[in-house]
Amino acid sequence: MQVRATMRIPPSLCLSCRGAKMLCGLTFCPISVNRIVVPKMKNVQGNSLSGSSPPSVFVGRYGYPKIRIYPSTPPEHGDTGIYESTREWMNMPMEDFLSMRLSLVRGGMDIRVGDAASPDRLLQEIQLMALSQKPVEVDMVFEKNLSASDVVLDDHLPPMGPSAPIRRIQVDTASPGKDVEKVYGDTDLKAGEAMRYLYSSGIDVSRISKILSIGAVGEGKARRVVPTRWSITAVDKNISDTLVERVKDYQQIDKFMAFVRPTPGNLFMGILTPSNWIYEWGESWFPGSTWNQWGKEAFVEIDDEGYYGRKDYPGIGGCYYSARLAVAEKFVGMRRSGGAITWREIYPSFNLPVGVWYVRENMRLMFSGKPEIFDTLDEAVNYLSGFMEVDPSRWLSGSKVYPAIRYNNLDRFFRI
Amino acid sequence: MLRLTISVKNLKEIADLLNTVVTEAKFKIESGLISVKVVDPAHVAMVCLDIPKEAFVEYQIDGDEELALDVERMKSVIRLANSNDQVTLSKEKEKLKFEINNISKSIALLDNNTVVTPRVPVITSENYVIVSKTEFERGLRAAEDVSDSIRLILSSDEFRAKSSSDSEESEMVLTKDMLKDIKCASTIKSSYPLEYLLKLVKSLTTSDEIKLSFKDDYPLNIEFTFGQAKGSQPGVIKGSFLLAPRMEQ
Repeated sequence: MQVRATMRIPPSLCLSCRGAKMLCGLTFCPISVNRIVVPKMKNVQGNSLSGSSPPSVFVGRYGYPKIRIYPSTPPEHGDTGIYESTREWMNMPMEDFLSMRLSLVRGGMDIRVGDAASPDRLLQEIQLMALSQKPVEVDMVFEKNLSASDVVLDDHLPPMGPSAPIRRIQVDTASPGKDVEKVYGDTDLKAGEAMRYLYSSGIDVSRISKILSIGAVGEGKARRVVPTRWSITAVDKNISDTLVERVKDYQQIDKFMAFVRPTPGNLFMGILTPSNWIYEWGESWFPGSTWNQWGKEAFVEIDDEGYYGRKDYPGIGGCYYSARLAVAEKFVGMRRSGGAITWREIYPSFNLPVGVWYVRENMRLMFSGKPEIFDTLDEAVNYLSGFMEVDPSRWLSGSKVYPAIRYNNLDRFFRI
Repeated sequence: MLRLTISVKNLKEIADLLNTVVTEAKFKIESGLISVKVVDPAHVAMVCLDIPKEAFVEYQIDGDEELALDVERMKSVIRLANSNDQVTLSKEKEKLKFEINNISKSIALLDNNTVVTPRVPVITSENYVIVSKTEFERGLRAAEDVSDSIRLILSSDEFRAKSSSDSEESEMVLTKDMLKDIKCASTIKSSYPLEYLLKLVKSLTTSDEIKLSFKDDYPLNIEFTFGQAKGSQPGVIKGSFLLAPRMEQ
């Protein structure tokens, strides 16, 4: 399996760097990733694999409603929980994260999404595995050798490793825990209510999306297996919708709160505004970053919503809802309401899609930090512009929330 | 020595009006009048009230002073009273004592320096309409589920309030004969956030008529009177509500 950088790196640079100095400017060393993944994959001999699944079950979206589900495991035994723990990934160097995720081997099985309404014994076993609180022992025999080119690199999904169709799978018994067991067993509970119940029981959204994806929640006959990519956004949206409505009843914050979080290859920014609920998520991809390979300048894209939310899906994608969840959780935590401007700059060194978890977890960490407090929106923007690479005027001209807050008040007419 | 007695009805309406935009307010107490000016944290709406001595049953003060209060705390104290009761307020050190029949309750006064009184801008507009509060409220309620803003349109002979979304619409049309007064040379239009207007009219329980003045893309000024004097003369308290226009995107 090869992990390739999409740019050409002169060998002289690699020789003088040797994975230590990041001279190529990428946030991970493509050579190190290969070096770590390749030995791990040596454990995968012949056409069978045994390992401790974190647990992990990937659900593809192609061919919907005839899709493929992939029970997955790394070729190692023991506590593999970190393979699926988005929070822990925040503390890992990018190459460790990539090599870890790319060694999750996926065994593919064809199913119909409606099979979840009356799952056969095998699907039930895989559901129980996906619901497990702890890693589960899995043995898989494949129809053919693993297809190394078939890795998952997607802007919504965490990366995943190679796959092959399953001939036989054996899964150890697993316990989902009390709360998950309750929603799995309750065939009268709607999927949305199940998500909210799990969230209020303290289960993180990344696990809830896995539970939704495997078709383990919802009213009996309506149960469906849901492609992983859709399930992640469905959960971010559903939970943030609920929290945003709850927050609207709280008292408003009375100042502008500015937050900033630089990460390798990225800058996350947020301004919470003393106003009614209003929200925007903006991304600016620099030339050479994942989704702007050929552009000449940074491309700014912003989606927004007013007090009553949006009716259509934001063009910018699922990260809109991942960031919105982090914003809503922050307001809930403060027991205050307000609006939010959230922006992210992505630099050329960040040229691999890693999934929306990266937005959600970084935004959560950013909001857990101490904000700078300002009386006016312009002061808050001015503070953030000290960190930005993009010209602040480009952010402001694309912003929907900025003019709404800046111009819809009396300050525009009078000094109060 | 500060001792004020006022009907629960008057005090409740004052508290509700202030609470439409803020939770804390600073009252300026002078020999003939108590005034209060508040602006919401987003600087979208402002409420100014002039409460003359006549709105009180008893009005004893030593000299000019300022009292900063938590309006929501005050409202929760008033809730202990019946609607026909009177409340006596007196200042005791850093507290404000409320006496309602056989109950007395004190709440802490806030530090005068922490509650800022906003500057009140001068609004100039020759165009205005005087409309029944009930009619206006009906127009707002019609728009309530349609959009979060309402467009006011004033011409020489009618006043319209319109709201629309992709799929729904509402409109109230009041012709000249249905209005108390109207003055407008040419047609003017401006949109305003509905939520603020709804909160305002809900708290204006004893006003009959309100005066709206505005111009194109300009703050709306709503003037109203409310409350009752001792001799049951209505509309003794004067108020104004200032609201920033909503920009059309």
